[in-house]
Amino acid sequence: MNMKTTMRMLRTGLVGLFLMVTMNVMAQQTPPGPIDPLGPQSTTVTTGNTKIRGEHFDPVITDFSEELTNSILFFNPNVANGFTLRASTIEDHASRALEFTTYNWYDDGDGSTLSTTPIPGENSVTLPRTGLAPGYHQYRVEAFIIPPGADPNEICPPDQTETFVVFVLPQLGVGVTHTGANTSLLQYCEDEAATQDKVVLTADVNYEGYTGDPALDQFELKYTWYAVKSNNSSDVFASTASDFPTIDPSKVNIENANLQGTPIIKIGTTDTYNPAISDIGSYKFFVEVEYTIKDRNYDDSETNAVTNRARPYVIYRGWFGGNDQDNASIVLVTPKPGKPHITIETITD
Amino acid sequence: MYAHILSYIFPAARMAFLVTLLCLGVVREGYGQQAMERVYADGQSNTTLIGGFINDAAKAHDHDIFSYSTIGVALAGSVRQELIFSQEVSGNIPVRIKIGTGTNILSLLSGISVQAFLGNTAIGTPQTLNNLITLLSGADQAEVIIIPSSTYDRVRISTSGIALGGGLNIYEAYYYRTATSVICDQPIDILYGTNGAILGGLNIVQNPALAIDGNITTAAVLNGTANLANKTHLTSLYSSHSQAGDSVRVIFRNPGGLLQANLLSTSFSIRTYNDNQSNGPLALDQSILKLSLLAGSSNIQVLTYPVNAVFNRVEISLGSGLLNALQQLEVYEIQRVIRAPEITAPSISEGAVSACEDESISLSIVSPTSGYEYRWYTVAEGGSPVVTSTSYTTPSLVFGTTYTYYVSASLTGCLDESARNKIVVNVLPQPGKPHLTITDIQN
Repeated sequence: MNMKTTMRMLRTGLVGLFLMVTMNVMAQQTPPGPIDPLGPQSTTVTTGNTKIRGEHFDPVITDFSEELTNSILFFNPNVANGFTLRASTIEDHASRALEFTTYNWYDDGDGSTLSTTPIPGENSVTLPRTGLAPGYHQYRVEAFIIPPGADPNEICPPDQTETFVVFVLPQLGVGVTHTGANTSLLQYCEDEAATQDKVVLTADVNYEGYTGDPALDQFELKYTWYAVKSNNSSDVFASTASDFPTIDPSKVNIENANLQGTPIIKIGTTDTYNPAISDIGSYKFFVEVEYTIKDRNYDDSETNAVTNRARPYVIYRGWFGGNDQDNASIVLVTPKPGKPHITIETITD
Repeated sequence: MYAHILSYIFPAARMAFLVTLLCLGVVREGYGQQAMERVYADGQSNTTLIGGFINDAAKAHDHDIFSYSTIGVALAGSVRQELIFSQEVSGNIPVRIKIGTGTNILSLLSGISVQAFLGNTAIGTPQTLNNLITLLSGADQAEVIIIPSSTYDRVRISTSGIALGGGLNIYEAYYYRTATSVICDQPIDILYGTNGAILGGLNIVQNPALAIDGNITTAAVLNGTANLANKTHLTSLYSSHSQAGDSVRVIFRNPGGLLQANLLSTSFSIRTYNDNQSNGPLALDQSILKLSLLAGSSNIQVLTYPVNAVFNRVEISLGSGLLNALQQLEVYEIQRVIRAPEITAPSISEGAVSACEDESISLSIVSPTSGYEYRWYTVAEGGSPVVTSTSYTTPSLVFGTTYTYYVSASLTGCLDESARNKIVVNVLPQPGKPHLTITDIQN
């Protein structure tokens, strides 16, 4: 099953789960691969238990449809991410439902080695976490029942735990390389626009500051190519930095923004782009890359989403030929000369 | 054996006697805890010469502990009686002879001897009874013990040349052998008497058998003598030895009124013995003494006191110069109570232990005594043991149930057992699985 198919199933599943909210939905989403495991590692309720999973929590949880999505976190280098893990308050047991009285939480790191030491001071039903680095983070809880009057040191040690895995999406580093036929000239003629292969741009994406699993090529990425045209009205081929409008990537609809009189054009959605612009002039190109595993607009919580792009920090940008707009390479779309006409002058006859 | 006799003689003589017995190859009797039963002599033969006499000869082997033959010499002469076992008895098994006298024969015992025989073959040398002078200085009874060094089938009691006045009473001769299915903590016999002069017409101990008849409504009566320095005693004998911690229980009534705990030790004495060797009087320390009224009675008291020394006799006595010595004491029963075994388990506290559901827990006896068996029950009284062992592993425990287990101790081969000690097992829940979810995302 490829990633696109998986995501379609996920969307379909989300709709279905929404419809089942009032029925105390207990079905687990298909994990939004390639991150697996993710979220709670066991959602199956003990055989014979008359309670469904959500009823083990206080307050009762009727909808787990966002659980796996919420288990994926964006990394924001400027503002710490955060979440709270909540444990059930009553035991999942085949024949009874006693309340837990205390908990031990464990931070198992990336899950490769289980911790043997509980997180100090964390014994309540919730475990708040914040500022997580990119990668896997595995947490484990064990819950205790101390009957009234019992010696806490002599109670039965829990033999079942629950593990919850979250993944913080690593930042991406994006570069754009030239893979076209022209080896030196970054130009093509306006009448070649539809078919030219002289100038071809290819996105080069890598994890930035992360080397763990899963490999980047396991993720589906979304590419959005943009062209920024010189807007010097007196010389369409002018190519100094000041001849180009400066984009503000935090704004919505940048592809339609008419900055300094020249639109930024959204021109492609694949990792490789053959410019097909036929409008002569000087251009700079950049690409924006996003993970498709989680919509950066996922919760519509941005209060000024009308004017600002949601979570611009998870849109990773690379300019063709340079590290930024100013240093980006210039691609020229040259005119095809019109038909010359001949006249006669200075006749001596 | 020699130790039993030695308790009544002076140190120098004691040493000489000890050396003598060692030369005879006598081996000290062991006191391993095991169920025992008496084997009485079944026959007798006797010989009298000149002034010797024997009365009721057959009563010395009739298995009746209260009947006796009497041997004596009027002025001069000799007499002997042999008590014969139906089977040969291995050497080193003590032979015991219950004797008594109705008068003071203090100065005459040196002329009385006992000796084991195998047929006509003497085992070792005759042992004289003059070392028992303090015991038989009045109307009293005693158990003489010798340990033949080789196989024997009879024991001879003889005297010659010395008048024995009223004579020497010979009740029974017997030895002990291991047994099964016997009652061990009920006295098998009783000795009684005094070492002082008896007032005219006074029966120093009335109905002594009632102190060991197992009936708590009937009593022997112990009377003091005119001289409070003398001792009047009632001594119960058991077929087996106790273990450390077993208790003495005496059911008694003071005709003068209830006795307070703090006056007990000065009113009468309780001594335990290992055969003839005294362990000394019980201190009757009030911190461990249990004194109560017999159920349903307003004047019969029950005294229970633990004894760490090994014993197979319990003596209740009046006199001996006690500060508040009683003139009379009714003794309903002299009992020995097996120490109830102490239970231990991991993390036990105040008789209770906690265990996890669906698990078992092992309960054990604290310092189990070799020779004893420990019976585990699920009921406080009656029922059959679920297991007989020094430990018990419970079945898988169910949460919501409080289990109580009981255990008693019993000397192997004995029918009687101690009180049942109990342990409560509280079952703790094994937590079910927790679940997790994620909330409050900030991202």
